[in-house]
Amino acid sequence: MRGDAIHHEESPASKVALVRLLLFFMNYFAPYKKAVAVTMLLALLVIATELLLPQLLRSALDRFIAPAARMVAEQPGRAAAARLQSMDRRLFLPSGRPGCYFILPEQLRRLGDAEIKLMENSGQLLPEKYYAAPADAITDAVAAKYPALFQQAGAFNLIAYDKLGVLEKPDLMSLRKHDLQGLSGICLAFIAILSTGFILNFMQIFLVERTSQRIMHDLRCSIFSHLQGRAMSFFTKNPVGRLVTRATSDVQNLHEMFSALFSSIFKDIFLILGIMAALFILSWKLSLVCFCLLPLLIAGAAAFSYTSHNAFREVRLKIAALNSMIQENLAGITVVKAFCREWRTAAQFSRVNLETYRANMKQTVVFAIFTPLVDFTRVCAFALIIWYGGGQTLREAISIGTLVIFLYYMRMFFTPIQDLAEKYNIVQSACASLERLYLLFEEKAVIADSPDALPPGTLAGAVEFRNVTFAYNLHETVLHDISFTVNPGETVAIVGLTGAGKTTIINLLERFYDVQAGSILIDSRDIRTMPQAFLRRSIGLVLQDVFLFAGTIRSNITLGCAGFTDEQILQALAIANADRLVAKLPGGLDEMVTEGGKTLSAGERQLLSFARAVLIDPKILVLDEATSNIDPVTEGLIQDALDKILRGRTCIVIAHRFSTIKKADRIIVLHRGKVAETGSHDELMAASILYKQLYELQYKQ
Amino acid sequence: MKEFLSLRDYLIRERWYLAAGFAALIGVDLLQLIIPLVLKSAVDDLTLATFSGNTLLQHGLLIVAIGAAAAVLRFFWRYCIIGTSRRIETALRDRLFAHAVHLPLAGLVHTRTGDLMARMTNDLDAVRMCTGIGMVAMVDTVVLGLASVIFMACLSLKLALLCLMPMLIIILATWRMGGLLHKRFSQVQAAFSRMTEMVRETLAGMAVIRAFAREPDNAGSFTAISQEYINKNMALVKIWGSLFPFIVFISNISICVLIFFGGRYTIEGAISPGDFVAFANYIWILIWPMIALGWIVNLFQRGAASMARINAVLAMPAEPLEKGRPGPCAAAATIEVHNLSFTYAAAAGPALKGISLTIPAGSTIGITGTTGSGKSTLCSLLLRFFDPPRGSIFIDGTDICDITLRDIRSCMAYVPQDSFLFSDTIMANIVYGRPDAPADEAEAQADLARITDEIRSFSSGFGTLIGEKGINLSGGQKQRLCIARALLMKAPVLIFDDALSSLDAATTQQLIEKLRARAGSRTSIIISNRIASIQHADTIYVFDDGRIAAQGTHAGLLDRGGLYYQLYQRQKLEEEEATAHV
Repeated sequence: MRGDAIHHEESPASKVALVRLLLFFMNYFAPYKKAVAVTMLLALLVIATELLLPQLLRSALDRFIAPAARMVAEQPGRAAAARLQSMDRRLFLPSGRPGCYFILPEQLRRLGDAEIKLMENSGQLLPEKYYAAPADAITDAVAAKYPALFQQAGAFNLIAYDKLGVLEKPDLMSLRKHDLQGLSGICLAFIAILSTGFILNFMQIFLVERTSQRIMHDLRCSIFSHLQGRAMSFFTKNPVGRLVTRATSDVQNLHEMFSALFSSIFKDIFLILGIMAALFILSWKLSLVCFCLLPLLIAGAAAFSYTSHNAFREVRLKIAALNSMIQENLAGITVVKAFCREWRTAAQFSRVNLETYRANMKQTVVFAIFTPLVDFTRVCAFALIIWYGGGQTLREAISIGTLVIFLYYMRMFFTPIQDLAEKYNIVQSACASLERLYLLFEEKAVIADSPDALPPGTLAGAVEFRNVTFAYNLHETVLHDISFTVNPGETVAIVGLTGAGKTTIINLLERFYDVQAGSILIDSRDIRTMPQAFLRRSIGLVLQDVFLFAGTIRSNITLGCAGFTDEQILQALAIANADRLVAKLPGGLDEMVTEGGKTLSAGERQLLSFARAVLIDPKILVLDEATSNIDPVTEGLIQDALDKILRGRTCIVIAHRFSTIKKADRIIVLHRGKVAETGSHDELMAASILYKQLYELQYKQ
Repeated sequence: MKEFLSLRDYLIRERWYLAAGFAALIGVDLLQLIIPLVLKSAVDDLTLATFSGNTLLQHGLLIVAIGAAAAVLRFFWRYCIIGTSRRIETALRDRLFAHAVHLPLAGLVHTRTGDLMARMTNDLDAVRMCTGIGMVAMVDTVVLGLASVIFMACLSLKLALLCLMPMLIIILATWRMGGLLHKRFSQVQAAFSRMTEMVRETLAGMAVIRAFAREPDNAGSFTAISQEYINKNMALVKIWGSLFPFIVFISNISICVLIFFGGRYTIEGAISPGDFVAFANYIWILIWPMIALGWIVNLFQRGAASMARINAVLAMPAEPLEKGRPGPCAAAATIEVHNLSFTYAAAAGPALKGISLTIPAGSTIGITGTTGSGKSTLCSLLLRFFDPPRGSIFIDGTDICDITLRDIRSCMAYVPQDSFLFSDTIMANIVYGRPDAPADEAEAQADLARITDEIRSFSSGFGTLIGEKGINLSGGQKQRLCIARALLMKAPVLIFDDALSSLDAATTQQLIEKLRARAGSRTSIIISNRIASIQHADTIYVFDDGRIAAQGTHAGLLDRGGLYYQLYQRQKLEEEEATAHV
């Protein structure tokens, strides 16, 4: 669970500079530069379509639904009139009234705010609104039908706006047929842009996800390889659970940040900038008025991310405490019961639970204050638009369409801001994960092949330990200066009590650890001069606890190597006496082995692990015999298989069974990390008290 | 939905909060719906030029006032309803936990710890989501959805129907896609688990992989699994990534319908330009309830399933702590075991087969034997973690099945096998069984358990924290703390369940001698695999496969040879081996 990972992995202060972390991440990011560039481009296009849609709505309103022409009255001698005279006369259409001109809506807006205000105040611009229809046969016919209502000016038939309702419906429709056509055009454009936006948006999200997943895939695979390459000592220091979290949850955190970054954070920022730009182009004055609220909003957002981060952190800590308390008390339930602590424990839990509740409520209150506040700011923006923008509209400085589009954009503007404040936590937790991954890659514990390591040709299989001393840690030397040789084809049994150093011999021969003093030689060559892969492929290892992987029988015998044919596998199974067992399984070689191989008995698992070792046909076989009780039938199979496997190979057996000792050419008695005695069973029985004791206790049946 | 009936009492208790919260919520919804009307009237004023600067200011102020009222009400509904859901969650978690610790061990073994944990966390979260944001979304959807539809219909029924048509697609889509989304999301989770499991397994089986030099092949398998995870994610994003753009698409189709038909109606004069603007606003308001509808259905389905799982735990019968007679709790107690046989619920064979033994008051007995021979089972039965058959165990002549659990357990001080300590201070751990014990008494017991010197060497002494947040104690230190904890109980019977394994022979012997020397001398039962821990006991019982194979004193048993002698010899050798490395 991710909950308890937080508990002890919360790193309060960053230990690694952000720049180094980013450089580290860039390695993985670099191959996907182009894809990322495309996602950004797509994001820009998506935003563009989102910004265009309201413009269409505005056009629909201003050009086709409610276009309004006004009337200008010339009044010579007044100051403003002088300027009016100097203006482009082509803007005006002479009306029937002397000294009065119509001015069309598009041209009216060109005059500008101040001009309009002046003209209004001086009474030059009359308040009435007119609808202007381009003069053609149809509109002329309508105008002819209602001569009292229409006036002709230039190429237009004009009618007062509030008189439109007087017209009969068919006449109204013919008068405004251009508007209706225009609306259809707008709708078509709307659908076209909308569909493009939809497709682009989907492509963008899809591409971001794919790119991010691929980057994370690369990262995960390199973490996996990195882990596999660490020395065995690394795994004793680092709990499995923590390492698993690195390769999975931490990478997942990064993925969340990455996809948030490219599918919403950048989009949000583009959107905010785009809206601001659009608003400024539409009306910079109204924009400035609206953006008065912006500092308030930014301060609010900053305050929110700060307080919510703290509240969130407190909640996480409390939940972690709560969870570990549940976990702990369920794990130690016998102690709780033995000491009659049930009620007291429940009361203690209740207190932590209450603290969690309080932390949660704090968070709730933060949200309860901030969310309405953003909404309130938005409503204030609406009010400003209506009040100030409405005033501007009256002065024709902006159109009604512009006003509506302002409302529309304002609505769009607040969502990304709120969104950004909430994304802050994702970025934070991703940075912590990135740091942990960086530190993992800094972990250099490794047993490296020496640069001039060369695989010897064929092996005879002679093994020698020469004055080997080894300790896992400083305080405890496990092997003291031990020396022994095993000749090619010889079977040697190693016996001794728990803790005598038997398993360590295997670990050293496999070069899981390097010796501290002395050397281990195979065919008189130090194993440190061989490539590790060669060394390990030359040694077949059968461990005491047979580790079976989740997978098929086949994959457990080949251990994932695809280079073996079914015949080879079946042959290995036959030598290991496991062929009948596999034949019995309904799926044969492809039968699934469940987690840990629980459905197979200990003896059966042993047979499979023999097959695993036999398959690679090693010159040297190392066998750590199982201690567990095995049913007599399987035991017989195991002994018979051992006879076959030992033949023609150098074998080192850590023996737990008398029958195995008897098969050995020689027995080495290990005691207190030293070779105490060497000889055959009979020789040792005669000469060694230690061996005799051991035999009595451990091997005698 | 009947699963939620178990929340009735909580909901009744919270009724005022809920009433206030929902009133505020409905208020917010209504206020939200008025804003488009104000906008409409402002726009109409502007187009028809029946205006003045003052009217605009009034409109603006009205909007601000509505906004302010909505903000205040928003705060209240969040505070009341989300707060209620948090309180219900807290109360329910309290109850679940208290119930869980009172479940009999047999029941706890049945439900795995992880499972119980999940019910107290994930399932509770799901229930909280239903009682909090789920209810809000439901009310919101109904009120906001219905009201804006009604408002729209009042402005123009025909236009309302036309604009709502595309919206229906959103409901269908979120509902349908919700199911598919959930399925694909589970597949992603499953792929994630497989990947996690592969990493875990590789790390656990590292020796095998390394011994066969199969790292490259294994890395190949991991790449494949990681690729599979990508594929599942991409399948998910095909739905997830298209859902939201699709909703935006459909809601804009509504706007497009509005432009086409609404524009036409405005031109015709059937509706005013203000109506047109109000319509656009109502469409925007409707988007959220449309999305929420599909989501709410999924939320409540999952919540009901979680609630059922929680109810199942609460329905399990608890252990009756006070049922039975008060037990005898003299300074020392005689324990008799008559022909005791016991089989665990799911086990194939019996763990104990006809055990009989008598432990006289004040005596010390040792029990040894191979792993799985039934030693710890006897211990569990004495403490009645599991109920023994009637008539098989007696304390001072009373069948322990008749004595209340509380009294049975108070008269036995137990030192567990796994040296279980809590992540708390050392002092809190020692006084665990008697939280009101004075500090000097606790320190005296720590002294007796021979742990005081080490405790004093820690910087915070008895106040030192143990566990993840504090220091990590060695096995021996943990055991001695557990012993101090048991000693402080001053119970007539002391049970060591293989709890001396990490102490060296000398410490063990000193400890046992000190215990015996104490006045009143309690009855001690020492279970141990190590002969050194029990060799001084008055009587030693050797268990083998659920039976008593031999009994007697140390010397007597050694003379007789057999299992006891073998164990003794082997341990002597191994001890030498161990001391050789130090």
